[in-house]
Parts: sequence; C-alpha cells; structure tokens
Amino acid sequence: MLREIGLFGALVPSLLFYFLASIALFLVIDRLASPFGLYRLVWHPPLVRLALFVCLFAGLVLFTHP
Amino acid sequence: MIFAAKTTASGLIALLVAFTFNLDQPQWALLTVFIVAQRQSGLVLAKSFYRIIGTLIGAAAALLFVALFAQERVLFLGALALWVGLCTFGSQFARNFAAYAFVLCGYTVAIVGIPAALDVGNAFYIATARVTEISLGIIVTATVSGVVRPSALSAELRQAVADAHLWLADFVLAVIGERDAVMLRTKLISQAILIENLRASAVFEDREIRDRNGALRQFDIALLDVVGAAQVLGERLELLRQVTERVAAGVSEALADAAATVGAWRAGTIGADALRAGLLAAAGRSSLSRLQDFFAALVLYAEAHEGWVSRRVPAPGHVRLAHANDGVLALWTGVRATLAVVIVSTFWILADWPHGSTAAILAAVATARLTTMGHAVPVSIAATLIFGLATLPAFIIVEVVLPLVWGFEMFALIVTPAIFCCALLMASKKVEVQLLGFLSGLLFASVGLFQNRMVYDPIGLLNTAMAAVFAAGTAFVLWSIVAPDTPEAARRRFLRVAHRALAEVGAAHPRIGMAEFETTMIEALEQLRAHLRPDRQEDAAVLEKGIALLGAGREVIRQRGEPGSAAVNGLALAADRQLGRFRDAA
Repeated sequence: MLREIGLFGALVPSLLFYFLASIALFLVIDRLASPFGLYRLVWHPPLVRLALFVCLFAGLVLFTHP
Repeated sequence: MIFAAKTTASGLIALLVAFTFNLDQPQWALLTVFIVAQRQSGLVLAKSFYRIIGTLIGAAAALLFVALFAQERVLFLGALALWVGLCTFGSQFARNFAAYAFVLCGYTVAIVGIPAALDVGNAFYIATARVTEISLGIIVTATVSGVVRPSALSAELRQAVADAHLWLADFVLAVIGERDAVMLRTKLISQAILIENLRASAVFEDREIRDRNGALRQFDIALLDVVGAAQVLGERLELLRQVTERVAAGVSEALADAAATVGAWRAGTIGADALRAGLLAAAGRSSLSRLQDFFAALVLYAEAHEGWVSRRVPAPGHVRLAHANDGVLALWTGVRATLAVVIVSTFWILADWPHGSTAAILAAVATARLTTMGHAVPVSIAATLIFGLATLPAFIIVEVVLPLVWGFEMFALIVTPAIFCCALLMASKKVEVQLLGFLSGLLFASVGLFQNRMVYDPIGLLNTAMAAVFAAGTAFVLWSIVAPDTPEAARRRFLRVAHRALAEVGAAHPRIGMAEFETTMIEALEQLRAHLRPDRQEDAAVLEKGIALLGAGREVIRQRGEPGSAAVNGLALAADRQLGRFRDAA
C-alpha cells in the first residue's frame, strides 16, 4: 500500500511523486526516441507514447514501492 | 462526431477513475472535461502542462483569498470577481499557451474559493481535492484527444497552401491577360486569412509546422504582396491606356512574355529561378516601375512557395510577428466576467439563497468560456429558455433513471447518451449551437452530482438547475448589454487597430516591420470580416476599403528607406486619406 508523504506539513500521496518522476523519465526517453526515428516505425505514435508512459509509471510504482 | 465521441469517452473515463480512487466530488472532473474539450488536438503535453499550472495558481490564489477575507464575504466575493475578471481578460488577450493557463486559473479560483470560504477549517483539503479532480479531467481529456484520431490540422494547412498557390497563378494570369480578376482576388485574400489562422493554431499542434513557421509566414506575406502589387499595376495600366498608346504597346509585349513564363511556372515545368529569369527578360521590354514591382513581388512569392514546399529549414532570420488582439475588447470581456460574478453574488447575499454559491461558481465558469464565443441578443434569450428546459431531461435521467441502475456499466449506459448529445452540439460549426451544447453539458455535470454513493436529492437538483439558469441568464444579459459585439463595434475596433498600426508605420522612428504590420492588419481584417455579410453591398465595400488600407500601409513601409522624406510623408498622407475613406464607408 502506498503511503502519503508529509510535505511542509501537508500530506501528499506518494503516487504524485511517482507520477512526476515518470513524466521526467518519459520526457528523456521521448527526446531520445524522436531523433532515432522510433516513432516512424510504429502505426500510431501517440498510442505508443501513451503506452510507454503507462509502462514507465506502472513499472516505477511496482518495482520501487516499499 | 469524432469530437463528440472523444469528449464522451473522456468524460466517462474521468468519472470512472474518480470513482475508482474515491475522489471527493467526481462531478468536477466531468465539468473540467467540458471546459477543456477542444476540437483541435496535438501538443497535448504542453497544453495540459500549462492548464495544470493555471489550476495550481488558481488554487493558491483561492487559498490566499480565503486566508485574507474569509470573514468578510463582500470583500471576498469582490476580490474573487476581480480575479475572475483578470483571468478572463488574460485568456482573451494572451495568444499562446498562457491563454490556456488563464482559463483554468479563473475557473479553479471560483470552484475552490467559494466552498473553501464557506468551510474555512477544511480549506486546504478542499483545495487539494478540487485540484486533483480538475487535473484528472485535464489529463484524461488530453490523453484521449491525443491518442484517438488526432485531427490533422497540418494536413488542412498544406491543402490550403496548395489551393492558394494554384489560385494565385490563375490570378496572375488573369491580371496579365487583363481579364477580370476581382473574384479571384477576394478568394485569395480570404485564403491568406485562412492560412494565417490555420498557422496560428497549427503551430501548437505540429512540431514541423512550428519549425517552419517563418517559411509559412513569408509565403503568406508574399502572397498578399502579389495581390497588392497586382492591384496597383491594374490601376496604372488603366491610366496608361487612356494617356498614351506607345507606352501601352511596350507593356503589352512585356505582359505577353510574362504570361508564357507564368503559364509554365503554374504547370510546374519551371521553378522560381527560371521564373525570375523569364520575368526579368519581360520586364526589360517596359520601363513601367509598377510592372517591375509586380514582377518582383511574384518572384519573391515563388521563392517563398519553393521554400515552403521544399521543406528547407528557413534561414534563422526570425520574422517578428504581432497579434491584433485588441486590448479594449479583452478588457470588456474581463469587465463582463467581473460584473457577472458581482451581480450573482450580490443576489446570493441579499436573498440568502442556499444555492447562491453554485450560481456564483457557474456564473464565473460560464463567462470564462463565453469569452471565446460572440453572439447576438435574441439567441441569448432563446438559449436561456432552452437551457431552462434542459433541466427536465436532466431531472429524469438523474432522479428517475439513475436510482434504478447498479454498477458503473449501467451508470455509463444511462449517462453516455446525455454527455454525447451535449458534445455533439458542441461540435457544431455554429456558435449558438456550440454554446447550447456547452451550457447543457455544464448543467448536466453540475446537477448530476455524480458520486460513488449517489445521494438523490430532487429539491437540491432543482435548486442547482435554477442556479445554473440564473448564472447563464446573467452571463447572457451582460453579454448583450455591456459593449455588445455588433458589426458597428467590429468596425470601430478595426479602425482602432488600423489607426494604431498606421500611426506606428508612419512615425518618425518606426517600430514595426512589414511582418508585424501585416499580421496585425490581417487579423483585424479577419475579425472585421466575421461580422460582415458578404451578400450586402456596403459590407463588401467596407471590406474592400479595409484591404486598401492594408495596401497603403504596406506601400509606406516599402518606401520608408529614409524616414521623414517627402515620399514617405506623401504616402503616410495617402494612408490617412484611406483611413478617412474607410471611416466614411463604415
């Protein structure tokens, strides 16, 4: 179970931090993937990007949560 | 249709997620979906980022207001009204991602601030809950609009450019052949305006278009330059034909040569370089300077078109652009939003109406969205009535049918048609219908009070509906009374923009260049055109005069090599005369 984290006295769900971290990670991968032409190989680039983000988000939570 | 399906899907997914995570008031997620739903998609990440920033700023401002004036409701509502007005002004005046942030900023302040002020102890909790729900709505809408059939604005833009190119070639041939080109000219000018508008939206959608923004701008300006030069040439030719036969003969030869070259260029057998050589040879046959100007404009256009088609990244010489967003117009919009909140909250305080808070929130929300839509008085009355009538189906769905269902699937089955109908209306091209769909969606989302454990409260629903009708009615009345958007107002606005632009062009130390002047004027012209009826003779005359103003200003800029010289002063005078003529026509 994910716990809430105290931030300056306010309780913030830790899912939010996971979300922000996966956005950062996603942006890095996205930047790297574009020049290599990865998105030209797939049928529906936005769908791939969404799937990539979901994988990152879910993976980050599943593998790192205490 | 696709837009409606996308909006419905976004709404249902947002509700499902909100139910799954047991959020406090899922209806705000649905309401947010209606607020942020837009037909264009693309660059969803950047747009949502700015929207979420706006939400956070709004929530922070709401908490600040609560901390400052929670005990004094008059002060609190006054500050709130001013803030909503400010955000509405900003969303109208800003012309980029900031506009998205402003919309959400005003909206969040209203829906966080009022409940938080009524329950000060839980203010922070309320703020985080609303921010979560709004962000959920934003993210779901962005994801769905980005993944499902992203609309291809850039394809539309490429088609528009290709059409314009063909028409321009036809137009040039008509001018050279001394045939009637008025129809084609009007078509070209509206096409240039269309390209400019598509470009302004597509920049946010397509990275490639954004990189090649400069090439497209140059294309559009070169296009208008050719049209302008052709007009001047036509007038001069008319004059020449009356004065002397000998000069006219030289011109005719030059024109015949040019016609052959342009014909080959139109067919695509020769490129811009060959066109330049051909036109140079043709221009040598006549000393008429207007003809040379016209050919020069045409060559520039051909190069700009080649630059666009060849996908060559343009030289870094960045074109500075200006936007014609009229400060006065945006200011009135802000004033209307402020007044709407003030009137509704005054009524709330005076009448001690328990649902006044809902009305105040909805007034703020409705005016925030109305900023993007203009309309007339009779429509507003009809819309308020129909809006009131929409309560009945909403009542039946929420209070009669929903208590019978069990589980999210059944719930979705009942709610989907209602959301879909609203979204379908919103997808319409007609502003009035859009407005109707949007308001019905707002009504449905706010009276539904969809929760995990639904609390059915018919009296509450009717009260909320009354609040919504009251809020919408107030917004409409203000829209019709306070500085209404009439054709006369549009003409005055155009005159104001044109006057300012021409004054800057003619100033001793001009601060604006060709590109800025032309974007300003083209946008102003487009706004003017939206209010004119093409079938009316005098409206067409007004537009014609407006286009003449654009040409006059362009001539001033081109000639102002040495500011303050006699030629520039003369041209500035001529431009002023054009302005006077436009004023007379309007």
